[in-house]
Amino acid sequence: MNNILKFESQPMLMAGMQGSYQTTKGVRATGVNCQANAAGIFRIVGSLKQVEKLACDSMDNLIKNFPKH
Amino acid sequence: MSDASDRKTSTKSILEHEAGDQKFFCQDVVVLATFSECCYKRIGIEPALIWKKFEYIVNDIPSILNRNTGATNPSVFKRAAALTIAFIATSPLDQIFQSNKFPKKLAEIGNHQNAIVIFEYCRQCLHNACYLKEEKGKPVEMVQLKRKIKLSAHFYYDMIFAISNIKTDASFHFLALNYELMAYKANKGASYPEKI
Repeated sequence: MNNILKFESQPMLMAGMQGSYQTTKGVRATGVNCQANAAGIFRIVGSLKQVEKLACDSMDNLIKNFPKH
Repeated sequence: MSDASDRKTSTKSILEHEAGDQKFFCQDVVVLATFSECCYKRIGIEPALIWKKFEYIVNDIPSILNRNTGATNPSVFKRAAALTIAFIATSPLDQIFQSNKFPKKLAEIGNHQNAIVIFEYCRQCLHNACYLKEEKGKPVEMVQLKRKIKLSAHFYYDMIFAISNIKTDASFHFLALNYELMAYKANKGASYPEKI
């Protein structure tokens, strides 16, 4: 659990509770072994790269398999 | 679903850290926001997400679980239901999925963007989730939901429509059962013996 994300000390996150969240580029954890699972409250366990990949997979699946019209 | 079934279907690593822990609270917010952001980007939309709304969602989940179940360690299905309800109640995503890439019929559903993102998030979370099967009060088998939930286009549309219309947590138990049934349907042998 400890190597999932390394965001807890990011000032951006703590201060970012106001305003818009535009992008997390530059502060994303990479190269962490991960898998989709439920932990904590209910969270995908993995690096943010993995989270991004799962989101892309979900949308690709919809675009590919849901009828266009 | 009883407390006993909750214990049986709780992911083993679940609730090691609760919402009171700021570190994990932040991770929940970041993961949820990142997932939402990437869904938009995949269909060519640059989102402007508001952090505070994701915090509300994560904050709401324990309350929804407390109101609807007395279990100290609710099942992954109940957690999926609580997250879904919290997400729809806050509906943090304002921009609709207006894109040539995206299925038009789905985009016609009101609040589809929030319903789709949270349903997909829960579907990914339930994939590979595991729980302990018990017999006569004793653990007998660790079951992993190895197969991802698969649905027909018809069912998917109806599910997104239903989720997008959630107003309160009155639908909590039915939603939890729905997630459970979908997971069992995709994973033969994952449910308890169907004898009744």
